[in-house]
Amino acid sequence: MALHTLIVDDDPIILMIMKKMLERSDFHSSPLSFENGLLALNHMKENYMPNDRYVVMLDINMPVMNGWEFLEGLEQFADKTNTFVFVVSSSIDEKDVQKATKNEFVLRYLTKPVYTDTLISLKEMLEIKKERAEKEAP
Amino acid sequence: MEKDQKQYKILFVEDNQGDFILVEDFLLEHMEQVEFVHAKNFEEVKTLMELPRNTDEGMDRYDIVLLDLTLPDKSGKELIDAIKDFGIPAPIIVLSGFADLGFAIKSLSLGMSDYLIKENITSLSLYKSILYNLERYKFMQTLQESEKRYSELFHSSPIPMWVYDRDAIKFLDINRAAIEHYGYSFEEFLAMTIKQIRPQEDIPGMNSYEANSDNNKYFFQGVFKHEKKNGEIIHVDIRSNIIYFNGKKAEVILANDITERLNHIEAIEQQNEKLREIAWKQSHVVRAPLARMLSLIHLISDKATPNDEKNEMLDHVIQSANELDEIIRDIVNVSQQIIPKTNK
Repeated sequence: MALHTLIVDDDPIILMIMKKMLERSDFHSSPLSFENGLLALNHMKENYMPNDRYVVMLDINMPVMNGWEFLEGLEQFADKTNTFVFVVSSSIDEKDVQKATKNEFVLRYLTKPVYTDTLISLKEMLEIKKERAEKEAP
Repeated sequence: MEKDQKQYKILFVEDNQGDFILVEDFLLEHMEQVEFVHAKNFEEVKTLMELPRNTDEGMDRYDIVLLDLTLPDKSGKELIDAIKDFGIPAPIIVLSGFADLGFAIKSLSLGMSDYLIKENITSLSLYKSILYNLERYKFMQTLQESEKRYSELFHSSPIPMWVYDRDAIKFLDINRAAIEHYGYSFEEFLAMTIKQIRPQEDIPGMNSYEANSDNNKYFFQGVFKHEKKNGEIIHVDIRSNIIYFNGKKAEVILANDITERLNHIEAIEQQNEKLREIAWKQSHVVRAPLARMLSLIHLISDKATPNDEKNEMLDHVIQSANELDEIIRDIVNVSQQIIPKTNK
């Protein structure tokens, strides 16, 4: 039951920073980077395994396919019990926060910058979720 | 019956001495203070009328005129016309020896206040006629003044106003403000229909408005586009009321030019649009390089980061700082666009 972590952001520096942060916080040793929603969505569609777990660090404002459109695309094939999205945006607009938290895949709305401490606590949160899910499973 | 104590001054035009004395006696029965000025023929009347109006026997001093219709030098319609031409500001009562109903009615239409047959006159009927005609004259004066006041109100209104015929849709009366505002002269307006102050493209819609307009609706309000003589298009807030103008069903229109007000609202809407743009930039664009800088600084201060990576990150910090600077300049630019222009 492998864990896949995807970083989706059009800013290459953010991709680089986020990758380092995820590695240093032991969140994931080899996260995958995508420059827009479409690239990430295509990758997931092609490699999606129902028994694997997916974590997506998702930016909202991106060219080609933005974060909202990516979330819509996810509904076509992914399951919310194994696919978890953290919206990572520099926007502090309350409307964006509300829209994101309404989405079933979104676990949390994070405002950039995201530091390693936050990533460690998110990792713990995911582990607790995983344990619970395993207990409940038949 | 008590005598009337009021003061009366009567111009009595009568060539027959007997009739004069008779009528004088009749009036003295009811009036305590009555002063007669006696004219025996038209020439004498003319002499009196040529006196300065407000001197003792001038035309402004009479409360009433009693006029015998047959004078040696003028009579009948000719006499009435000539007397009327003086413009005496008092009611004129005709005393006639002939019971001619047709002519009696005619003289009333010529502006006489009453027509009495001499042989039927009694002291009381004459007195009553004088009182009645004095009151009626006062009432007519008030009415005319009030009409004049309303007409002045219309003509001196600072807001363009006009009256148009509901059937022929032609202008019937136009006030000064409308003439100044629209650029057409009074005569030009009178030769036009109300369609001619509407832009060409609005005329088809106008016909359907007319077809739908309810004839019983007395008040109407709406905003329309009008075209001035010089082709300038203005937005006007129209208020209208149905009136009867010289016997025709007409509509009086008050046209308030709101073009500037609308332009002002549009300017404010554009400003709001800019403000929304700034607000969006504040929350979405400004924070992006700032968040990036914070992350980079966080990584640089981390002991685990190798030195060569730190140098590379410092370059990114500088790049982000420049980016932020540019965004802020951009916002200042937009902000300057919404500062109201002082010299228009």
